[in-house]
Amino acid sequence: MHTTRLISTLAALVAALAAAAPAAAEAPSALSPEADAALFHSGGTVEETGTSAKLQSIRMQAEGGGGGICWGKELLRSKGTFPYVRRLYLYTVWCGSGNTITYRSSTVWTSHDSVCWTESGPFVAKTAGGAGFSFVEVQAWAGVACHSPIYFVSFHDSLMMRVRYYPNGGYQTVAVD
Amino acid sequence: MTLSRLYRLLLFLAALVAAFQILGFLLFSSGGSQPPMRGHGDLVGYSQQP
Repeated sequence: MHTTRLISTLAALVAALAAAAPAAAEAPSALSPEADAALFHSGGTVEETGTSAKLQSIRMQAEGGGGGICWGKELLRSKGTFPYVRRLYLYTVWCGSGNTITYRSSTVWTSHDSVCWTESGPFVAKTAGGAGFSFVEVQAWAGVACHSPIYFVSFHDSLMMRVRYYPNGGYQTVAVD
Repeated sequence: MTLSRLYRLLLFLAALVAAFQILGFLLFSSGGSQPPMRGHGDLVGYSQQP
């Protein structure tokens, strides 16, 4: 009698959890592109592309009129081991003339293994310097999450890198997370 | 199936799920790469002053 009751209770519990899983697995909604642009991209442009399981949205920010020699570099911050690898890319083109930055354009995007997704961002922002200064410092970041072996329980994390770019073409990573 | 056997089975299943969850968290937490501390950009061209 007890055994039958216990088994039926367990079956009901499993059914309830299975029904709740799709709702719990949905990624939370992010900021609208307009609100996001107002917060993080003042003076720049924002580009949104279609999202997929692999490649998430792409954001871009640019400043300055140009002049001198221009450099480009793609930097990668990644965390995790398969199947939980999540990646944040920052591609920046910057120009320098003499000891001054004349132009800077940064594009940020994310790429993850199939059980992970971007839950906020990716964002890019200038944190110091810029066109007319002797350096420009750019920060890129995103919030990510992955399904755990218990599907409806998620692991949450953030990816971040902050990089300084110099007019001579050099760059320096000043912070990562 | 007696009650004690069922409890033992449930205990085993719970331990199995916990082990997978711990393994998942270890995979989630380990590995990765960070950008070089210093480097030099690739030349992409020259720009005229506007």
